[in-house]
Amino acid sequence: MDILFALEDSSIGVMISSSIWGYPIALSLHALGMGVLVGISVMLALRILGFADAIPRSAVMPYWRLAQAGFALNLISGTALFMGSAASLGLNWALYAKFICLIVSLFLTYRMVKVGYRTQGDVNRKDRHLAVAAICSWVATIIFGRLIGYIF
Amino acid sequence: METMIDILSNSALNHFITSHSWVWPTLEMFHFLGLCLLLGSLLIVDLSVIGFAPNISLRLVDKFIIATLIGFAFNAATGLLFVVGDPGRYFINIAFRIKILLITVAGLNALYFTFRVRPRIQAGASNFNELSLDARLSTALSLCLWTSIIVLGRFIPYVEDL
Repeated sequence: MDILFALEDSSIGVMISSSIWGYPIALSLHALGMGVLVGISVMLALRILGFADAIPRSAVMPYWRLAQAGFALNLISGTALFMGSAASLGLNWALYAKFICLIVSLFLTYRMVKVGYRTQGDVNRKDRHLAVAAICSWVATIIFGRLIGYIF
Repeated sequence: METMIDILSNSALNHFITSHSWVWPTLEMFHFLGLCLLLGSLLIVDLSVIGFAPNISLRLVDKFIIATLIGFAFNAATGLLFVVGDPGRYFINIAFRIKILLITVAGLNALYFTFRVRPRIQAGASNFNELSLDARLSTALSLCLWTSIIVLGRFIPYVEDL
C-alpha cells in the first residue's frame, strides 16, 4: 500500500490527479491507443476468418506494427493514469481482470499474426479458432476496462 | 433547445436509461467497441491509400469500409442513447458540439472520398503517388478528423464548466 501512495505522490501522479488537463489528456491518449491496438487487431482477426478475402493475408499483417505502437501509447498513458489514482486502482479487481485479458489478447493476436504471415492457402480450423479467441479476448479487455470506473 | 431537453428528459427512454444502473456502462462498452471497429478499419483503408502497406491493392482495401460503417452504426446508436439519457449535459457541452460538427465534416469528407476519390482508384490509381492532391488531402483529413472526434469524446466530462 505504501508503494501505491508513493506512486500517487510522485510528480506524474500529482500532475494527473491535480492538474486541470493532465487526466483528460492521458485518458484521450489511452482511448486513441485502444482504438489503434484493438481496432487493428480485430481487423487482422477478421481477415484470418475470411473477411476481405481478395486481399492477401500477408499484405495486411504489417499493420500489426501499428497496433504495437498503439499498445506502447496505452502502456505509457495507462501507467500515468494508474499513478494518478494508484491507491484506489490498486484495489480494483476489474483492473487486474483487464490486465489478464490484455496479456491473453496480445499473446493470441501475436500467434494469429504469425499464422497470417505464414499461411498462403486456406487457414485451418485451429487458426480460425485462434482468431475468434483473439476477438473475444479483446472484447473482454474492453468490458473490464470500462468496468474499472464503476468498481469502487 | 430547452424544449428539446425537456422532451428528452421526460421520455420513457430517458427513464429507462437513468433508472437501470447497468444500461449506461453497457452503452459505454458498445460505444468503445464501435470506436475500435471504426478506427481500426479506417486506419487500414486510409493508411493503405497513403502507402503504409504497399502490397495491398487500393482497389480492394475499401472492403474494410463495411467494418467502418458497422462501427459507426454502433456509435451513432449508443451516442444517441447517451444524449437521450442525459440531454441537459450534452446539448450545452462545447466538446460535444464540436464533436458533432467534426462528425458532420467527416461524413461529408467520406462522401467526397466515395464519389470523387474512389472512382479514380477503381479506374486504376494503384498507389498514393498516382492520386491527386485532393485525394491525398481527403485521406489525411479523415485520419485527423476521427482522431479529433475521439479526443473530443473523452473531453466531454472535463469541459462542463466552459
